[in-house]
Amino acid sequence: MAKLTTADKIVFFVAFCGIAVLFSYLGSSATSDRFVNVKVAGEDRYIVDLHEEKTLILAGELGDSQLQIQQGKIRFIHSPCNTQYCVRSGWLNQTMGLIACLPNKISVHFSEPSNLYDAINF
Amino acid sequence: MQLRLNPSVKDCQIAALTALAIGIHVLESVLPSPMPGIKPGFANIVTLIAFASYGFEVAAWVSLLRVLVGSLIIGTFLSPTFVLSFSGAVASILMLWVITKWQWLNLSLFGIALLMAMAHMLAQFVVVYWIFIPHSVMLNILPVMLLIAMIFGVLNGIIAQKVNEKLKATC
Repeated sequence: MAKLTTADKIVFFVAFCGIAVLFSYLGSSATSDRFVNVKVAGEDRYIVDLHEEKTLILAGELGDSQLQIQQGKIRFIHSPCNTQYCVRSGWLNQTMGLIACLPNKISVHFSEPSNLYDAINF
Repeated sequence: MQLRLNPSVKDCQIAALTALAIGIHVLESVLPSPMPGIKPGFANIVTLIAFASYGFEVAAWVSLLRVLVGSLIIGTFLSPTFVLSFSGAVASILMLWVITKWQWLNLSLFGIALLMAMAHMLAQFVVVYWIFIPHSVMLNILPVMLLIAMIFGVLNGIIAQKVNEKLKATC
Protein backbone atom coordinates (compact mmCIF):
# COMPACT_ATOMS: atom_id res chain seq x y z
CA MET A 1 0.00 0.00 0.00
CA ALA A 2 1.31 3.49 -0.88
CA LYS A 3 2.46 5.82 1.90
CA LEU A 4 -0.27 8.32 2.76
CA THR A 5 0.41 11.68 4.32
CA THR A 6 -1.93 13.31 6.85
CA ALA A 7 -3.20 15.67 4.16
CA ASP A 8 -4.10 12.70 1.94
CA LYS A 9 -6.16 11.15 4.71
CA ILE A 10 -7.93 14.45 5.41
CA VAL A 11 -8.72 14.95 1.71
CA PHE A 12 -10.07 11.41 1.43
CA PHE A 13 -12.19 11.81 4.57
CA VAL A 14 -13.62 15.17 3.45
CA ALA A 15 -14.41 13.82 -0.04
CA PHE A 16 -16.09 10.74 1.45
CA CYS A 17 -18.20 12.81 3.86
CA GLY A 18 -19.13 15.28 1.12
CA ILE A 19 -20.37 12.49 -1.13
CA ALA A 20 -22.30 10.91 1.76
CA VAL A 21 -23.99 14.24 2.47
CA LEU A 22 -24.90 14.61 -1.21
CA PHE A 23 -26.41 11.12 -1.24
CA SER A 24 -28.59 11.87 1.78
CA TYR A 25 -29.55 15.40 0.70
CA LEU A 26 -30.54 14.58 -2.85
CA GLY A 27 -32.71 11.68 -1.72
CA SER A 28 -35.03 14.07 0.07
CA SER A 29 -37.45 16.44 -1.65
CA ALA A 30 -36.33 19.98 -2.40
CA THR A 31 -38.39 23.13 -1.77
CA SER A 32 -39.43 23.22 -5.42
CA ASP A 33 -41.43 20.03 -4.81
CA ARG A 34 -43.63 21.70 -2.21
CA PHE A 35 -46.59 22.87 -4.27
CA VAL A 36 -48.49 21.14 -7.05
CA ASN A 37 -51.04 22.45 -9.52
CA VAL A 38 -54.18 20.40 -10.05
CA LYS A 39 -55.86 20.88 -13.38
CA VAL A 40 -59.46 19.85 -14.01
CA ALA A 41 -60.67 19.84 -17.62
CA GLY A 42 -57.53 21.69 -18.72
CA GLU A 43 -57.88 24.60 -16.30
CA ASP A 44 -55.67 25.23 -13.28
CA ARG A 45 -58.09 24.67 -10.47
CA TYR A 46 -56.13 24.18 -7.25
CA ILE A 47 -52.70 24.73 -5.80
CA VAL A 48 -52.01 22.11 -3.17
CA ASP A 49 -49.41 22.16 -0.45
CA LEU A 50 -47.75 18.73 -0.22
CA HIS A 51 -46.68 19.30 3.36
CA GLU A 52 -50.28 18.93 4.56
CA GLU A 53 -51.25 15.29 4.68
CA LYS A 54 -54.77 14.72 3.44
CA THR A 55 -56.96 12.96 0.88
CA LEU A 56 -58.41 15.08 -1.92
CA ILE A 57 -61.63 14.18 -3.68
CA LEU A 58 -61.96 15.93 -7.04
CA ALA A 59 -64.94 15.85 -9.33
CA GLY A 60 -63.96 15.15 -12.93
CA GLU A 61 -65.80 14.27 -16.12
CA LEU A 62 -66.45 10.63 -15.25
CA GLY A 63 -66.77 10.97 -11.52
CA ASP A 64 -64.72 11.52 -8.38
CA SER A 65 -60.96 10.90 -8.29
CA GLN A 66 -59.21 10.51 -4.96
CA LEU A 67 -55.69 11.82 -4.45
CA GLN A 68 -53.60 11.04 -1.40
CA ILE A 69 -50.99 13.44 -0.02
CA GLN A 70 -48.51 11.82 2.31
CA GLN A 71 -44.93 12.63 3.33
CA GLY A 72 -44.61 15.40 0.78
CA LYS A 73 -45.83 13.27 -2.12
CA ILE A 74 -49.08 12.95 -4.04
CA ARG A 75 -50.69 10.10 -5.97
CA PHE A 76 -54.01 8.91 -7.30
CA ILE A 77 -55.55 6.23 -5.07
CA HIS A 78 -58.89 5.91 -6.82
CA SER A 79 -60.35 6.99 -10.13
CA PRO A 80 -63.48 6.06 -12.09
CA CYS A 81 -61.53 5.26 -15.30
CA ASN A 82 -61.26 1.73 -16.78
CA THR A 83 -57.50 1.47 -17.27
CA GLN A 84 -56.38 2.90 -13.88
CA TYR A 85 -53.08 4.17 -15.37
CA CYS A 86 -53.29 7.16 -13.04
CA VAL A 87 -53.37 4.94 -9.96
CA ARG A 88 -50.68 2.62 -11.35
CA SER A 89 -48.27 5.48 -12.11
CA GLY A 90 -47.77 5.93 -8.37
CA TRP A 91 -46.26 8.91 -6.58
CA LEU A 92 -45.60 12.07 -8.54
CA ASN A 93 -41.86 12.83 -8.89
CA GLN A 94 -39.66 15.15 -10.93
CA THR A 95 -38.75 12.42 -13.41
CA MET A 96 -42.28 11.97 -14.70
CA GLY A 97 -43.31 15.56 -14.01
CA LEU A 98 -47.00 14.81 -14.25
CA ILE A 99 -49.64 12.31 -13.15
CA ALA A 100 -53.03 12.42 -14.78
CA CYS A 101 -56.33 10.65 -15.20
CA LEU A 102 -57.05 11.53 -18.81
CA PRO A 103 -60.55 10.01 -19.06
CA ASN A 104 -61.53 11.98 -15.98
CA LYS A 105 -59.57 15.08 -17.17
CA ILE A 106 -57.65 15.58 -13.96
CA SER A 107 -53.89 16.18 -13.92
CA VAL A 108 -51.32 17.08 -11.28
CA HIS A 109 -47.95 18.69 -11.91
CA PHE A 110 -45.38 20.61 -9.89
CA SER A 111 -45.98 24.34 -9.53
CA GLU A 112 -42.31 25.24 -10.01
CA PRO A 113 -41.68 25.02 -13.73
CA SER A 114 -38.88 22.71 -14.83
CA ASN A 115 -36.21 24.12 -17.11
CA LEU A 116 -37.27 24.73 -20.68
CA TYR A 117 -35.60 21.65 -22.13
CA ASP A 118 -35.24 18.15 -20.76
CA ALA A 119 -32.25 17.41 -22.94
CA ILE A 120 -30.43 18.84 -25.91
CA ASN A 121 -28.95 16.77 -28.71
CA PHE A 122 -26.32 17.82 -31.20
CA MET B 1 15.27 25.07 -47.68
CA GLN B 2 15.25 22.53 -44.93
CA LEU B 3 13.06 23.04 -41.91
CA ARG B 4 15.03 22.39 -38.78
CA LEU B 5 13.30 21.83 -35.52
CA ASN B 6 15.35 22.08 -32.35
CA PRO B 7 13.33 20.49 -29.60
CA SER B 8 14.40 21.30 -26.10
CA VAL B 9 14.69 18.68 -23.39
CA LYS B 10 11.28 19.70 -22.11
CA ASP B 11 9.75 19.25 -25.58
CA CYS B 12 11.08 15.69 -25.68
CA GLN B 13 9.77 14.94 -22.21
CA ILE B 14 6.33 16.24 -23.11
CA ALA B 15 6.25 14.40 -26.43
CA ALA B 16 7.25 11.05 -24.95
CA LEU B 17 4.84 11.25 -22.05
CA THR B 18 2.00 12.51 -24.25
CA ALA B 19 2.53 9.62 -26.66
CA LEU B 20 2.28 7.18 -23.75
CA ALA B 21 -0.83 8.90 -22.41
CA ILE B 22 -2.48 8.90 -25.84
CA GLY B 23 -1.75 5.20 -26.25
CA ILE B 24 -3.38 4.40 -22.91
CA HIS B 25 -6.30 6.74 -23.67
CA VAL B 26 -7.05 5.13 -27.03
CA LEU B 27 -6.73 1.58 -25.68
CA GLU B 28 -9.00 2.45 -22.78
CA SER B 29 -11.68 3.74 -25.18
CA VAL B 30 -12.06 0.17 -26.42
CA LEU B 31 -13.18 -1.01 -22.96
CA PRO B 32 -16.97 -1.14 -22.48
CA SER B 33 -18.42 1.38 -20.05
CA PRO B 34 -21.49 0.71 -17.86
CA MET B 35 -22.62 4.32 -18.19
CA PRO B 36 -21.66 7.36 -20.29
CA GLY B 37 -18.81 9.16 -18.59
CA ILE B 38 -17.63 6.22 -16.50
CA LYS B 39 -14.00 5.63 -17.36
CA PRO B 40 -11.06 4.46 -15.24
CA GLY B 41 -8.97 7.29 -16.72
CA PHE B 42 -5.66 5.43 -16.54
CA ALA B 43 -4.07 8.00 -18.86
CA ASN B 44 -4.16 10.38 -15.90
CA ILE B 45 -1.50 8.24 -14.25
CA VAL B 46 0.91 9.53 -16.90
CA THR B 47 -0.12 13.12 -16.05
CA LEU B 48 0.60 12.45 -12.37
CA ILE B 49 3.99 10.92 -13.07
CA ALA B 50 4.79 13.84 -15.39
CA PHE B 51 3.96 16.19 -12.54
CA ALA B 52 6.02 14.25 -10.01
CA SER B 53 9.03 13.98 -12.32
CA TYR B 54 9.03 17.20 -14.34
CA GLY B 55 6.64 19.65 -12.73
CA PHE B 56 3.32 21.35 -13.40
CA GLU B 57 4.00 22.73 -16.87
CA VAL B 58 4.91 19.37 -18.38
CA ALA B 59 1.89 17.72 -16.68
CA ALA B 60 -0.46 20.39 -18.06
CA TRP B 61 0.88 19.98 -21.60
CA VAL B 62 0.65 16.20 -21.40
CA SER B 63 -2.95 16.30 -20.14
CA LEU B 64 -4.31 18.81 -22.62
CA LEU B 65 -2.41 17.41 -25.61
CA ARG B 66 -3.60 13.94 -24.72
CA VAL B 67 -7.25 15.04 -24.78
CA LEU B 68 -6.78 16.89 -28.08
CA VAL B 69 -4.84 14.23 -29.98
CA GLY B 70 -6.81 11.38 -28.40
CA SER B 71 -10.06 12.92 -29.67
CA LEU B 72 -8.56 13.31 -33.16
CA ILE B 73 -7.54 9.65 -33.23
CA ILE B 74 -10.82 8.31 -31.84
CA GLY B 75 -12.82 10.70 -34.02
CA THR B 76 -14.66 12.69 -31.35
CA PHE B 77 -12.90 16.03 -31.93
CA LEU B 78 -15.26 19.00 -31.26
CA SER B 79 -18.10 16.60 -30.40
CA PRO B 80 -19.92 16.79 -27.04
CA THR B 81 -17.56 14.03 -25.85
CA PHE B 82 -14.59 16.24 -26.61
CA VAL B 83 -16.20 19.23 -24.88
CA LEU B 84 -16.69 17.14 -21.74
CA SER B 85 -13.18 15.64 -21.86
CA PHE B 86 -11.60 19.01 -22.41
CA SER B 87 -13.54 20.75 -19.65
CA GLY B 88 -12.65 17.91 -17.27
CA ALA B 89 -8.98 18.13 -18.23
CA VAL B 90 -8.91 21.92 -17.79
CA ALA B 91 -10.55 21.61 -14.36
CA SER B 92 -8.13 18.93 -13.20
CA ILE B 93 -5.15 20.98 -14.39
CA LEU B 94 -6.50 24.04 -12.56
CA MET B 95 -6.82 21.89 -9.43
CA LEU B 96 -3.21 20.76 -9.93
CA TRP B 97 -2.14 24.40 -10.24
CA VAL B 98 -3.89 25.20 -6.95
CA ILE B 99 -2.15 22.24 -5.31
CA THR B 100 1.26 23.49 -6.52
CA LYS B 101 0.51 26.82 -4.85
CA TRP B 102 -0.25 24.98 -1.60
CA GLN B 103 2.92 22.94 -1.34
CA TRP B 104 2.78 23.20 2.47
CA LEU B 105 -0.14 20.73 2.41
CA ASN B 106 2.35 17.98 1.59
CA LEU B 107 -0.07 15.93 -0.48
CA SER B 108 1.25 12.75 -2.04
CA LEU B 109 0.20 11.59 -5.53
CA PHE B 110 -2.69 9.77 -3.86
CA GLY B 111 -4.28 12.97 -2.58
CA ILE B 112 -3.44 14.88 -5.77
CA ALA B 113 -5.04 12.17 -7.91
CA LEU B 114 -8.16 12.16 -5.76
CA LEU B 115 -8.57 15.93 -5.91
CA MET B 116 -7.92 16.04 -9.66
CA ALA B 117 -10.44 13.25 -10.30
CA MET B 118 -13.13 15.01 -8.26
CA ALA B 119 -12.45 18.31 -10.05
CA HIS B 120 -12.61 16.53 -13.38
CA MET B 121 -15.95 14.89 -12.67
CA LEU B 122 -17.45 18.02 -11.12
CA ALA B 123 -16.52 20.11 -14.16
CA GLN B 124 -17.98 17.51 -16.50
CA PHE B 125 -21.18 17.44 -14.49
CA VAL B 126 -21.48 21.23 -14.58
CA VAL B 127 -21.04 21.23 -18.37
CA VAL B 128 -23.58 18.43 -18.81
CA TYR B 129 -26.12 20.14 -16.53
CA TRP B 130 -25.58 23.56 -18.07
CA ILE B 131 -25.50 22.68 -21.76
CA PHE B 132 -26.72 19.18 -22.53
CA ILE B 133 -29.27 18.04 -19.94
CA PRO B 134 -30.55 21.04 -17.93
CA HIS B 135 -33.02 18.94 -15.92
CA SER B 136 -33.07 18.85 -12.13
CA VAL B 137 -33.16 15.04 -12.21
CA MET B 138 -29.46 15.17 -13.16
CA LEU B 139 -28.67 16.23 -9.60
CA ASN B 140 -29.66 12.75 -8.46
CA ILE B 141 -26.78 11.27 -10.42
CA LEU B 142 -24.13 13.69 -9.10
CA PRO B 143 -23.23 11.74 -5.93
CA VAL B 144 -22.94 8.50 -7.92
CA MET B 145 -20.59 10.13 -10.44
CA LEU B 146 -18.50 11.70 -7.68
CA LEU B 147 -18.26 8.36 -5.86
CA ILE B 148 -17.01 6.66 -9.02
CA ALA B 149 -14.57 9.54 -9.61
CA MET B 150 -13.30 9.09 -6.05
CA ILE B 151 -12.81 5.33 -6.48
CA PHE B 152 -10.92 5.66 -9.76
CA GLY B 153 -9.01 8.68 -8.48
CA VAL B 154 -7.80 6.66 -5.51
CA LEU B 155 -6.86 3.73 -7.78
CA ASN B 156 -4.93 5.95 -10.19
CA GLY B 157 -3.22 7.69 -7.29
CA ILE B 158 -2.02 4.42 -5.81
CA ILE B 159 -0.73 3.19 -9.17
CA ALA B 160 0.98 6.54 -9.90
CA GLN B 161 2.64 6.54 -6.49
CA LYS B 162 3.92 2.97 -6.93
CA VAL B 163 5.27 3.74 -10.41
CA ASN B 164 6.87 6.96 -9.16
CA GLU B 165 8.60 5.09 -6.33
CA LYS B 166 9.99 2.52 -8.79
CA LEU B 167 11.15 5.30 -11.14
CA LYS B 168 12.91 7.14 -8.33
CA ALA B 169 14.57 3.90 -7.19
CA THR B 170 15.90 3.00 -10.63
CA CYS B 171 16.95 6.47 -11.88
